[in-house]
Amino acid sequence: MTGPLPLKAIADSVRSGARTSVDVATEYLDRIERGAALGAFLAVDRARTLAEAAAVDARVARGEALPLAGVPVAVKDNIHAVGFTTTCASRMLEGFRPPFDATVVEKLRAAGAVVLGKTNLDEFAMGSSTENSAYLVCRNPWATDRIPGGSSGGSAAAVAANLAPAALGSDTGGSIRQPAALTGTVGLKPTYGRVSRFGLVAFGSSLDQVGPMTRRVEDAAMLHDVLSGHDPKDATTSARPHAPTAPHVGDGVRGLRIGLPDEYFGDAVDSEIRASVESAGRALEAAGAVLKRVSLPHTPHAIPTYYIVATSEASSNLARYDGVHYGRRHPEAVDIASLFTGSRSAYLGKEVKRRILLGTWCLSSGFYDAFYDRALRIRSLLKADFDAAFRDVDLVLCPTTPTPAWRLGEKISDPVQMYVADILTGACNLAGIPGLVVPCGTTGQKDTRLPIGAQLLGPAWSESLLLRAGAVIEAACWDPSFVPSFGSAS
Amino acid sequence: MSTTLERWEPVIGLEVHVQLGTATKMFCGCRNLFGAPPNALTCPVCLGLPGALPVPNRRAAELAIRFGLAVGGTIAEVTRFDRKQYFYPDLPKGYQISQDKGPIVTGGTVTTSFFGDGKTIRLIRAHLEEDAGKGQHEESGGSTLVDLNRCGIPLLEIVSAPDLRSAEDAWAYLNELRLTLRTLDISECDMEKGSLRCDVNVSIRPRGTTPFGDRVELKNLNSFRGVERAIRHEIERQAALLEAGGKVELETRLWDDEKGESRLMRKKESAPDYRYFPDPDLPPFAVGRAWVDRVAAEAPELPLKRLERYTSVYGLSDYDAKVLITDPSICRYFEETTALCNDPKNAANWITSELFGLMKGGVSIDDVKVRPTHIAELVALVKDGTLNVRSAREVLAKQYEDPRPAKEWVEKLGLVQVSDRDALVAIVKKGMEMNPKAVADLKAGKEKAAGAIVGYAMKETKGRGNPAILNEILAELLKTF
Amino acid sequence: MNISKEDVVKTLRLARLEVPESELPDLVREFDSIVKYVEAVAAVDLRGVEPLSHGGDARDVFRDDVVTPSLPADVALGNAPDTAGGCFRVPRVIAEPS
Repeated sequence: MTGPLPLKAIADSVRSGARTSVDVATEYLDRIERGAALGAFLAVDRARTLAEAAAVDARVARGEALPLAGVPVAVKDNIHAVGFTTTCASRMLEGFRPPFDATVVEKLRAAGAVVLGKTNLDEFAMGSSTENSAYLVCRNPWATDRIPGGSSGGSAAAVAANLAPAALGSDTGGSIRQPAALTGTVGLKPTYGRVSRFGLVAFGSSLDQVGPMTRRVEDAAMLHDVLSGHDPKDATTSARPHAPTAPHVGDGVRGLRIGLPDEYFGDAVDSEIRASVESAGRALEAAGAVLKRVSLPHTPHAIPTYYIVATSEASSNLARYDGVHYGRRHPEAVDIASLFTGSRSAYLGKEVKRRILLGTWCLSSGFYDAFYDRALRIRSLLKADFDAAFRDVDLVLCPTTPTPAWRLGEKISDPVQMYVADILTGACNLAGIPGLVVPCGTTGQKDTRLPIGAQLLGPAWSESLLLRAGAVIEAACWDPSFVPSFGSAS
Repeated sequence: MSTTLERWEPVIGLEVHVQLGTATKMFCGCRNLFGAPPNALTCPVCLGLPGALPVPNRRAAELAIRFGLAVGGTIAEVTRFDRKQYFYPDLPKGYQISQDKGPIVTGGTVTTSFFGDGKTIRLIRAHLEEDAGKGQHEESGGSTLVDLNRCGIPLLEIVSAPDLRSAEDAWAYLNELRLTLRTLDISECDMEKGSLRCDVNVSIRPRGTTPFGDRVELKNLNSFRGVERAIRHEIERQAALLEAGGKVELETRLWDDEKGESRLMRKKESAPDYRYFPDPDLPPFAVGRAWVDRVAAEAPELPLKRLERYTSVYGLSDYDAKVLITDPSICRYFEETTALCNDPKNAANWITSELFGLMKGGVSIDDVKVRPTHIAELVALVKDGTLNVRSAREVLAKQYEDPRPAKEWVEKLGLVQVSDRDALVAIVKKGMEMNPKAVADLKAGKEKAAGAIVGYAMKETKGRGNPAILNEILAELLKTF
Repeated sequence: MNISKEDVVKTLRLARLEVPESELPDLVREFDSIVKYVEAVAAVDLRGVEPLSHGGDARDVFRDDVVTPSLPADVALGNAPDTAGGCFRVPRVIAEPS
């Protein structure tokens, strides 16, 4: 068995008959079993996945052209895949069986991909470490006493440890990009409205996007092309036709202007991380790009704004978990009031409750103008910052996280500290622009090397440019076939 | 001793919710239908399942625009949906998608031309929202059973200004509104099926003063007469309170029509905080000139326009025209009949005088066996002389039970009108011989006396005599008798 | 702005959440620090700035008034904690919606 293959190679081998989809799926399922201690998966169903794989083999035999033939994809457990439960890592949705596929899963399955299992996350996608999962601790394959990031920590860990060649994540304020950076994987948050949210359990409706998490930039492009497109079931998807990005990944960056925003390179970011990202910048320069400084002056307001908007929307989106029609109901509920309050209080976790509390507060009478309305206006300013920068440059290059992966339990006690760590990723969702994270180096710590991710941001619909730049950084700074050895339980 | 209404002036506003007559729900493609087995018309969207998303029904927006145009309101150029948040078992998302700050229609008026004294009531706004499900108490046991078939059905909420000044005004307004909505095919407005619901705001002020009094909201009103009763009761209740030196509390009360009284539901301070905010799942939409014009072109005729057409073009009486227009089913029947026979006056007459006479006990004209084709046929048969009116009535009565074509009944009953001059001359002559007094009266100028002779002739012809010809013959024979 | 216990309890109630009495002081403290953090938005000059409430460029999105298949009732009820007679069953509802 060679190192982890690009998705195209897997699909080619299944299409040509060199390998069967069942064979490929079995290989990954075995790895998942061996890597169970990482806590990357919440649900695995060997029989079901192999049945899906067998069906793909039958379709290939019938001559169907399947771009992702036999490619196993892990799916974050807040995205519906019929046949698997969707728990959102919450006790509230324990055992919930979705009666429909998310549009993104429908597209994957139509393209011949196979659902490998459901990955771990922070409960209802609220968190930056996956420590808020109500079920399992998820560990970073690079150092198993550390967090993999969040909220798509399970997807990131699965891909980093090669338990899955690719995974779907979701990103509301950095939940694809931050875990990608902390685990040395590639993560893409598409332009808002590029990918359907139908079947993604909503957290922040005007911010959420589903995106690929992969080992390689070319794989992210390939998946992004399959997932993208208008969906009549999601009124927020764009009518703009999707132009495939995969054929252009190798087009290079000659002549592209790349901005480095002052506000993203301040002292709050580890010097090692800044240095690593700057060297990624030099790689782009060497490939013919032009680097310049830009300013995104409203950046300091991004996080309070993000938290007001995201939690306000979340407080509303999570009101449906009331124990009436689905989800868990408190067994001692004797009247309607205790049914609502009892069920929600018993089965929603601490961080989720905190965010619902903040969101409810921000929307409540007397506070709407001071918080929510103001946040929506600051949002306009943040977007205007990016619009102005993108008149000057084609892309922005910056760090993804202020620090590398921290230890399990280290930050969880202080919510504000956790929120502040989102400073480098949140503005992107507020502006609706796309963001790509590509591993560009590791910290030089004596006993533990921890990955560092470079973040590329671009104007709406510029995913192709992001991927081209990402490919250049990857070629110069990273070996995508490297899989950290994470041993057994630790 | 003056009456309450002599001392106090009521100030009333109405909030009406109507279900729109679309094929599907507001935000999903489930059927918009009353009476299906529980939860048979649901999907992830209207069930509020995690991950489901709403997509608005264009037809619902069009019907709202149609309403706005009909009442002369302003159609918003850009409009959007907001979430209204509260917890209730029939509200699966924990919020209702509604419109708060940018309703699709503002302003407009309703004038009680058909049901009242022509008073004009201003509308404040009308907006789109989705209906909630339905809870029903279990027969035995302390449970409530929830059916979500109704959840997501499109609603138009119509809010009037507090321009109504009596319970009768309210009744007239409701009927007028209902007529407009039904005539324009916007809503069935059937309170029994829940497609029209109504809340009332009532306050009183001493006659001759201007400041508004404290108002009370009344809910659980299930019929138009119930609305009237509830308002009358509330006026008395408030008057009694104020006259005893008390104060009207700002509150919401539930009406109990059986008991004829209301009880406190909640005080204003406990009014819920709905935390409205723009629904991020639904982009705002523009209503441009082109769309509005298209809706206007497709809209059925307004009741008042129709009244004008019926009276000035068709020559119907104001009374008859109103009878036809105020029931859209009857109006439709009339229009169909007129289209077939091209004689609106006769069509109207046959329907309102004859057909109505046969229809008993609240039966709907849609369920009657006699259809517009039958009436049109009768009109034609009388016109071409085949039948006289009396025979035509006989046929109609038969058709009411057994709707065969008139020609079949005419043959079966042998009703062809006798127009054969020679036969009729003989009969009239005989009639004159048998009624010498009548002849004398006729010669003396008493026209009514013809009745006895024509009546005799009708009897002899078994009612099939052509009355016009009979009268003609009589006049001629008189000259020589 | 200082957050009081009453503020937290009132907001919890609006959200149909409750927290054991013993956990309240910590929650109040935490919530106070979070609110103080997000209060930073008060300092920004927002004159002439419009709110941005939606992501993306989608506008004027509608669906045709055409029936699509509903879920079979048993599937619709498939994840329900308690059902009876084809309906979702809950303890008797006495109060009106709020």
